[in-house]
Formats: sequence, structure tokens, C-alpha cells
Amino acid sequence: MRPIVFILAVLLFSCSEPETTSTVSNDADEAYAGGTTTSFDQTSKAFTFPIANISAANLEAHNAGDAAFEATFVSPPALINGGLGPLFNNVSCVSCHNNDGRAKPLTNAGAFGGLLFRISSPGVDARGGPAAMPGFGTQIQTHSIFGVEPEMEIQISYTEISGKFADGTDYSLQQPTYSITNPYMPVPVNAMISPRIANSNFGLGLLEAVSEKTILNLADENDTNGDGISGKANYVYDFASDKMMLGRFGWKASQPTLIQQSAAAANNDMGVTSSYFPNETSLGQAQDVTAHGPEMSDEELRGITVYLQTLAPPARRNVSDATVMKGKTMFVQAQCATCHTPKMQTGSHTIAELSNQTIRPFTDLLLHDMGDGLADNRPDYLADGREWRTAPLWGIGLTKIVNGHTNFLHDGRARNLTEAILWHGGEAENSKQLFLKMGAADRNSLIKFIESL
Amino acid sequence: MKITINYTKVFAAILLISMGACKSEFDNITIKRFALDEDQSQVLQGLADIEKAIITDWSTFTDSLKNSTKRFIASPSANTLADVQTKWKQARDPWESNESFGFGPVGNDGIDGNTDDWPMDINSINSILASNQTLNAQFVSQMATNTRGFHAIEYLLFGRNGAKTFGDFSTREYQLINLLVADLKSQSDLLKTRWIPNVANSFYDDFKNGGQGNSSYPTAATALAEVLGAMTDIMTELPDAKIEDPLTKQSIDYLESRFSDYSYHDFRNNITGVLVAYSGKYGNVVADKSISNLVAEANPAVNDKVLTQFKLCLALYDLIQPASMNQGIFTRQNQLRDLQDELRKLNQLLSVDVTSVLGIGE
Repeated sequence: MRPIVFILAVLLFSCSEPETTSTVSNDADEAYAGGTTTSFDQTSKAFTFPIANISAANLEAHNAGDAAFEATFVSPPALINGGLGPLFNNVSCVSCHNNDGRAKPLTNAGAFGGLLFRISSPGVDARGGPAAMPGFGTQIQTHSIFGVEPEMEIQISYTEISGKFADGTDYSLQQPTYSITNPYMPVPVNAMISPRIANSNFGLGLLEAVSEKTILNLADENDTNGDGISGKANYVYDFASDKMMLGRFGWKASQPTLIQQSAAAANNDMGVTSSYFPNETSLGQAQDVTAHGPEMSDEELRGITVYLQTLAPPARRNVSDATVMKGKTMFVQAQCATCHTPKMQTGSHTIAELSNQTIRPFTDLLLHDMGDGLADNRPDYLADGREWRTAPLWGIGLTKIVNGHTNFLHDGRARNLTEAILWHGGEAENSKQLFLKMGAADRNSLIKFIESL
Repeated sequence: MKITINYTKVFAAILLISMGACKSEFDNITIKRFALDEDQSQVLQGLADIEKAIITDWSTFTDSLKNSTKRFIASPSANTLADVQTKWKQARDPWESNESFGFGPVGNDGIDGNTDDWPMDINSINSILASNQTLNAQFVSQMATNTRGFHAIEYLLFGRNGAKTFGDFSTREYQLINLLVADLKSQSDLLKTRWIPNVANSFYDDFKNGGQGNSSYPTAATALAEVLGAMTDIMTELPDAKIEDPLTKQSIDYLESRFSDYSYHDFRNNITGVLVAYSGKYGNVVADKSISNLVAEANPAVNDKVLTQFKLCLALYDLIQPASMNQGIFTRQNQLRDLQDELRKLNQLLSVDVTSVLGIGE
């Protein structure tokens, strides 16, 4: 370790921590990723537990929402869960979020996986959001009820890109290419298409409970501190208040609240309408646009929202392991913690159990330029085509056991954590370069630390 | 024939007999953590072998269903239809016994969704049948999960009211059944492949080797907790959803296998499947060491209580006659309510007492 970096690391760890910090603390509560809400299960169900401090009333609501989250929709009319389609990506929430975890991209066109694609025209809509592409809207539905054509199929292929670490160790990254087949109408050449993999669901209520002020305190849009890292808040349209609000959820922080996120997913992913989004996604197409009325009741929508709000973050493991602790130092030294903010304090929330918790989400909920390699070139409100919200890292080490894979990033292209780091660019280019210069032992320590989250 | 049962007396008798088998009271549960990792590994080995046997049975019975389907299509008759319907039920049995192993590839590889999504989409199936859509394996592979698997096949084989005769089938129904059964068979083979030991990407090895450094499971106890979690999941779902919804709504539409009226057997297999995982016994496959053995070593009273509760639940279950949930939700409501209560007690024993005794999930 270089002396200056070592001294810096010592200083960082010895500082008394503010509410929001980019250091990784050594306090005894470090395992408690979600404060007193934390779950300690380490099985494939690790992401599925209600917050540990949940009240009896909220547990009842959580369980009702759980059932709604798992509900399979069918084409209407139907006594049970009629409302699927006419266009959709999958038939239930849980189909993409198995075990409340993250999906893996499936390469065959026509598969029912957890990877979807946003689409838009150049420019913005009346609210500053993505401009809908005529005939397609803002999301591509690759499936449909029988008798209606899916909008298109999308095939994924990968090209290997090889490289070397400074110590000569080889690595390879897979660059995805998406090919459109069988569109129901020609896709305009200026269409902007962005892949998005289904992400894990836990801890979202805690992120919703972080105050706007806390998040904005982390922002440095013009990089006034000169560290090469900015951090920009996204402001997006909130349908409930008819106002612009801080975006928190989704790969580009394009949803302000969990209820809107849930309603949008029901509508776009399953073709299920609600009071939030009363129109079928096929509206405006020559295909079936029959309005079926709200197919998800407000009660069901609230239930799903409470369910998501009250899924507990899993506890960290192996926090005192020597390799993990070394990796923690590497994490700070490589400036990973500058964006993947280790520790925050929640503010107040309508679910009292989420309020005033010390949480360790490893995100700042802000947008960062991630470079050309990850760019989708599709703006989403204030997020430009190179910017992505810092992905929370809590629970990431349990992905293998929960979902049976280790694919990461917004489209699941990274096959492991090492590849995920190596895809970083833009504001994270320096961090990536530091990672490339690390020896095998240090790289291993860093990965072990991330796996402990 | 009207069957009259003095249910209260039978219930009381079973309860007394069962409780008499207990060796001690349970006011104070003694917690004894595993002394030896070998004990846990032995249990995992046994459980892995049992799951392998269940999935092998599922694959075998699904293969029988596939062959019977071909015979039915080649020579439709009352007999060949009855045979394929029976084979559907036989394939269903190991699947519903498998809920205690509802983790790993069955969910992550999409097998559960492709096999047992519910409710099935009747409108879509009817639309497909009424169309000129070319029916082939490629088309089936792109059908939504709610139009594939057991319940789509069930709907086609038994009909909406369970009264389908061999003369009711159209050519397109034959085609679709044949394709869906082949798809089901491929799902069973996919799962079977993942539970083969000593091969690449073997989940059998991953599970069995819990705690040995080359597994997704950091400790053997974590792998055991996985099974206990799956056991308690189905012991929650069975009374609180599978039975509760049709019973409360008084509608067979909410029953799992309503077209075949096989829900009764589905539910019983759910219970016996949990008992299989707990006792380490499935047919001729007997684990050298089971969860029951571990519990008995740590606290024999708890083990006795669990086994007694299993007996009670199954005895209560078998009193629900005739063996039809399509009827039972209307005619045996009180018995089903009592059964729900006892299943919840069993779940409590598994999720709290057993978990505590084994020192898992703390």
C-alpha cells in the first residue's frame, strides 16, 4: 500500500462518521444492513423476509401484498386475476423477480425472462420524460395474448472482449448485441432502446425513507470538489401529486415512489391497468386497445407497495473476516465508496418501522456517468444516455444462492463481480484503473468484501 | 350413500392416541446445537438422495404420461382416455410431494413456472385451439407459463367440468396435448439433470456439499435451513391459500386441480412430502440420518411432537371423504377448518420448535 493512501485510509476509518458517509465503518452493527429491519436468513429466501421489526398490522398487509406479488394474471375476462395483456413481458411480478431477487438475461428470443427493453423517440414528452415511440410507447412488450401480435422479438448475442490486469492476468468481458426480429410494424431508425434487467426487491422501503436532503447532500453535479465524480439527482414526474419529484427507483432513478414503480411495472410488464395507469400499453396501436377498466384494484396495488416497502435487507456476512476487512480498505481506496455510499440514515416514512434507521445500502441513489461501454444512449428525464443510478450493493453476495447466477449490471452482461467492476467507466474510470492495477490478492480481497455485502 | 361421521369423537380419539405417544411435555424446549458437522452433512446427503429419487419418479411418470398420450391419440377410446388421465395424476403425485425441495433450479431455471403456473389461462388455450396457428414445439416453447404445464394439460384432458369423453377431443386438442406433455417431460428432465451428482453444474452436489467450501451454502446448517424453509413455506401455503381461498370463497375455481378434482391428492401429497423431508424416507430411499434423527438426538420430545402432529394431520385429512376437494369445500367445511388449524400447528412446530432445536436460522 502506498503511504499516502494508507494514511488516508487510516484517517478515513478513524473519523467520526456523519449521517451519510463514504467510508465503511467498523462499528459493531456493521452486519445490520437495514438497521433493526435486517433479516439474517442466508438461504435462497434471504430476500423474501419482512422487515424484522414489522408490526402485526403491517405484517398482515405485507402478507396480502406478497400474495398479490405472486399472482399470475390471465387474459380477461376471468374470475381470478383477469387482466393480462393484451401486450406483456411476463405474467406475474414474481416471474421476473424470483425469490425477490434479480433476473438473468435469457439469450433466446421469445423467452419469458426478466430482461425488458425501454424504447423512445428522440426528445422528451410534456413532462420531460422519454418521448413515446409511436406504435410502441416507452416499453417493448415481447409477448401478447393470443390473437394480438407482440411488438417484436429481441435476440441477444455476445462478443467477447479480452483484456489483461496489470499483473498479466487475462480477463474477458461479454459485449451484448440486441437484434430485433419480427416487429409488428417497422421500428423507426431513430428509436432509442435500453435494456433493463429485473432487480432485487428488498430494502426499497428504506431507500424510500431516505430524505431528499440526505441524498442531495451527496450530489456534486458540477464536481466542485474536483474528485472526478459528480452525482446528479434525477427529477421525474409523480402522477399522484402531479409534480416533479426526486427519482429513486429503477436503473436510471426514473420512478419517484414505490407505488408508482409498482403500478408502472404492472402496466408495462403485464398489461395490467390500475387507477395510476388506466390505459393498456397497446393504446394508440392498431391492435387491441379495448379498455378493460382497472385490472388491479387500489387495494392490491397498495398491498404490493407495502410488500415491497417492507422486504428486509439481508445482513452482511463475514464482517470480521481478515480478507473481507482488507477488501473493505481496497473498496475505499479505489473510491468505490464515493458513489456506493456505505451508510445512510433514513428519515421519516409512513411505515414507522422504516423511519430513522441506520442503513448500509452502498448507493447514493444518484446518477453517474458510467462511460461509453455501459451507455444506453437513451435519456430518461435528467439522466442522459451515459448515466445510471448507483446500484445498491447490499445483498449482492447472496445473488448466487438466491437466484442461481452472478450476472450483474443493468442488462446482466457481467458474469461475475470482477466483470461488473471492469465495465465501469466514465466517473468510475479511475476506480476501474485502480482495480486493474491491483494484484491478485487485493482483487480477491475486494471481491470478498463485496460478496460479504 | 350418505356417509355420517361423528367427527368430534373421532378427532378426540385420534388426539388422545396421538398425544399418548409423546414422551414428555414441551413447555421448555431444550436447544442443542449440532455437535458435529458430519451429522449435518449426513442429513444433506440423505436429503439430496431423496430429492433425486422424487425427481426421477417425476420424470419416469411423466414419461409414462407421454407414452399414454400417444396411445390415446393413436387410438382414442374410453379406456385410453382413462389411462392418460390416470397417468396425469401419477405424474402429479411426485411433483406435489416435491414442495419441500422448492428451491434452487426448480425456481431459478423457470421449471416451476413452466410446470405448475396457476391459474391457467383458459381463454388463451381456447383461442389457440380455435385458431389456425401452427402447433409445434417452437410455438409451445414461447407460450406463456399460464398456458403450459400440468394445469393446461389437465384442462385439455379432463375438460372444464371434468366430464370430457374421448369423443370430445378435436384434432388440434390432440396436437396441443401431445406438445404440452412433451414440454412437461422436458421440464422434468431438466430438473432431473440438475439433481444428478458428480456432473458439471450439479445442484445435487451444491446442496449436498453445503459448508464444504465448494457450495453456494456457506454452512451445512444453511442448506438444512433451506429445506426447513421450503417445508414451512408449503405448510403455510396449504392451509392459508390452497385450502383457505376455495373454502372461504366457496368456489372450486380457486382449487388447484379442479378440472380433474385431484386437489385432494395434491394437498395430501404436500403434507406427505414434508413428512418425507423430515423423516428422510421416500419409498425405498432411506437416509442414514434425517432431520427427525437430528431433532430426536437434541430433544426427543420435540421430535415426538412433530411426528405425532404429522399423524394427526394425516388422520384428519383421511377422514375427509369422499376424496374430493371439489365436494369437500362445500360438504366438509368444519373438517377442513380443523385440518387448517392442525396444519398451522404443524407449521409452528417446524418453523419454531424444530428450527430452534437445531439452532438454524437464528
